[in-house]
Amino acid sequence: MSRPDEILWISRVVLFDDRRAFGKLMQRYHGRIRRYLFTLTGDEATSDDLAQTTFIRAWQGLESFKQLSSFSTWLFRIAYTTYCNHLAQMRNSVVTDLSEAATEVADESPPENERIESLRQAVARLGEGERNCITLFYLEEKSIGDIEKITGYKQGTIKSHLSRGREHLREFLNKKDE
Amino acid sequence: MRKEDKEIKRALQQLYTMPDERQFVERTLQCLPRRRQKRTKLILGNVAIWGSVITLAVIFHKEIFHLVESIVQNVALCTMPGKEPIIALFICAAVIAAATAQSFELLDDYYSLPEE
Repeated sequence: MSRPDEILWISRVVLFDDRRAFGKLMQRYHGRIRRYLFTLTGDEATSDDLAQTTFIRAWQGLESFKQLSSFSTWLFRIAYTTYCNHLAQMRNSVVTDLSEAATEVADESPPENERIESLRQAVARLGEGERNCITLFYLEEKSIGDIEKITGYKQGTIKSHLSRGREHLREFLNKKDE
Repeated sequence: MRKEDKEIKRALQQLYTMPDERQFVERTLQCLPRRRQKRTKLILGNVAIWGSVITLAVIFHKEIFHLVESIVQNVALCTMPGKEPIIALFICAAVIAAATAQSFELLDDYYSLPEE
């Protein structure tokens, strides 16, 4: 459920077009949304652009928010559809190779932390669905029901993505233990 | 949460540490478009309501006039017994005009865009 102060801010936006109230909602969620989109795109600038589009779409469509899920789940759903639209646009022009993008980021960073580096590679090897589910489940602490609402995947698919994702990341965890 | 799950969560949090972009909110607020659809709906709704009221008033103007006249005269007689009915009528009209002006001002505030 949405928090009471969020409900107040949402009401102010819907009734009075209150930009300050929307600013407060953004203050609360922009970090998480940008991080989520960064896990999907692997590129900071792109994730910021998509996060901006996400918030603009939320601003325009806030009247359609019926409190059926929490506000954050609704926002993550918009972020995910924004990412899917972006992917569809890019598909014909630039090949978005996520693993490549992640490796590029890894190359730019100093090799000070091998542990982070191996995790980055482990995450880059995950499939898109696995990475999406793993991120939402572990990083954003979303329930399987919420992930279903955000991504549109069926619960069984989410569970199998999580299980396979865990299996792939186990390699990283085992390396770390050695 | 299992130990392995906690490990994964901690590792992912370390991996995806986003720099704090303080300008992000300001920048996005400047990009927000006007919510025209809702405004149009509100205006259309108001036009419909006022249109119906005016239409009904035109159709039943005689009855309404007599009703209002009798109400105002009765109110005037009760509240201002010493005054001439016509003066009481003017005072009531002034009060109604002031209230109407105030309500229009409120409406104007409501429709104006929030300043940034």
